[in-house]
Amino acid sequence: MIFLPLNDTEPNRYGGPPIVTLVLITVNFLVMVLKPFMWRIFTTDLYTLYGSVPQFLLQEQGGGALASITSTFIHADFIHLAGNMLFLWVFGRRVEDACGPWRYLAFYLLAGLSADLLSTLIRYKEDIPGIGASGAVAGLLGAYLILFPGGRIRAFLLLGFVPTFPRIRALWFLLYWLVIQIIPAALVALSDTPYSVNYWAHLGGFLGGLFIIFFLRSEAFSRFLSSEPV
Amino acid sequence: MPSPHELLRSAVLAAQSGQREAARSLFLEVVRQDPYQAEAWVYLSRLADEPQDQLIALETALTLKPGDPDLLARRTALLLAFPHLSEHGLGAASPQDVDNTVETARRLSGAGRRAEAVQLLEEILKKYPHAESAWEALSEIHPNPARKAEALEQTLTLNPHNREAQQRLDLLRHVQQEPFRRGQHLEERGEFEQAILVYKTLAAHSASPAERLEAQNRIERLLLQREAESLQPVHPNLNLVRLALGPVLLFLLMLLMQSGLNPLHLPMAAIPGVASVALGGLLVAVTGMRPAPAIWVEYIGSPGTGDEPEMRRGLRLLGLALLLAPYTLFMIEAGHRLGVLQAAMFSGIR
Repeated sequence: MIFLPLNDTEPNRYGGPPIVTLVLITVNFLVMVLKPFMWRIFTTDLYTLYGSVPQFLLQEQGGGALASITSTFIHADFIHLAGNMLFLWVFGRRVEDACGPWRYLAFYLLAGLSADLLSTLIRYKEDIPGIGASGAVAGLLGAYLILFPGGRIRAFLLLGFVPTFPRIRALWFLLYWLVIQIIPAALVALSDTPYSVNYWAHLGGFLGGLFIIFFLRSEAFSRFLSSEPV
Repeated sequence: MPSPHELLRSAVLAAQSGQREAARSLFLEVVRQDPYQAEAWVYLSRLADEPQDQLIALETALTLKPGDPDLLARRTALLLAFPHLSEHGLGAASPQDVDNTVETARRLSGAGRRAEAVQLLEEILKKYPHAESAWEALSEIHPNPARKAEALEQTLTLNPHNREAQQRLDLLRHVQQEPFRRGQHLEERGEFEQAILVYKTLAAHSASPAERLEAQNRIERLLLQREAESLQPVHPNLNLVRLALGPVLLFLLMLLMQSGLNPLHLPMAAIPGVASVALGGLLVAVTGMRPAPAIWVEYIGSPGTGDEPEMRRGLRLLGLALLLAPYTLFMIEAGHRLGVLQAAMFSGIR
């Protein structure tokens, strides 16, 4: 079964294009395209230098928080990038609308850092660099769940060989997403199962989504407190 | 023999239980014994079969309860349904009736029953086309701008010295020529629904794309404003603190990660850094808040007055500088550490 979000079907409330979301997607794509050239220029391991390495971070080596941020713009391959950017587009647009561009950017970085924080705490012995925007994007998913529990998204669902495009409540999709993160994350933590996806970073970012209330527009915050749709 | 009070009670009971004939006889007996019993006349006006009898009972009830809006509204409805009644002199208004009707119409309009108020005034003006006060009241109450203007013109024909009517007519003509001004005028009067209607008409029919866009923007703003009125208001100071805390949290998290997740390794420079981010965040938040918080109005002034706009710009710039300076210094330091690692990796020391 393949289950992917395709688009948020609800309109923006405060208008304006999602500039920061589009800029983030563009920068991520540019980094991906330029990565081979950067590798040649720096003649060193880009992932180790600009990715987030738990041991470096704990030993206060390398970029520290800066590396945590740069790691969110580096992806292993185009499939990795496309998946993250799809989620960023679907769930970021309306979160940006509720925050305004600059506060949204700050929240995105905060979610990325909170993802890296939890990931570092769990993987504290490792020197494998963590890369990808998924932790920060997971923060957007958490924020989306808090702000728009009644929101609806268009999804792609492949059941066997039958593709369907249902319009479903984002709540169900996000709960499904959360379950498929928690189970492998628990297995990784409890039994040293080998992994290539940093589930703990996803959970850290998702928890970072709670900080969204510090970045909302005043009117959106009033709506949130009044239990009105944001 | 039962007293008029007991008779009235029996009559009301009979009317309520649907015994129309019995009730009518009892009410007639009540008014025979006590002709000033207004309630009995009201009931009789409902129980009478003939419109003419209904009108007589209503007129009598109105004499006892002058200006009663419900009775006036019923009388208007009756006269509209049976115009021949007024032709036969029934329901004819007196100059005192004009004053009463105008007052009632204003009261009805104030209670949100504008259609009934307009109907009352139109009716009285049919009989007293020279009643200036009724034309003036109609110009205030009628929802249609064209009829408003017509009523004001009539008022001025009857009394060319009515300066208030002249001013209102000038304003009305002005805003009719400029629909955006008209919408603005309606907004200022708190008539948001009417203003939205004006903007919707513009958005649908204006030949200019810029006007259509502006009308659409105003509609969205008004809809948001209307929705916002139903929201739980958040204290402006709470909002300020909340907005200022966002950048502080981000900075603290960055510091924590930079110091290897060990708060004891935080440099002393972090303290003024955090204070600067907090103060900068607070200034940026307070200068961007609409409506301006009370503290801002008290110390700086109302938005858009005096030196306030320059102060706002200056403080915003200062806030941005205070907010971004610690981040910039932080990034320089982190970049330096990154450079050290890169050099180490390049030379193979590590």
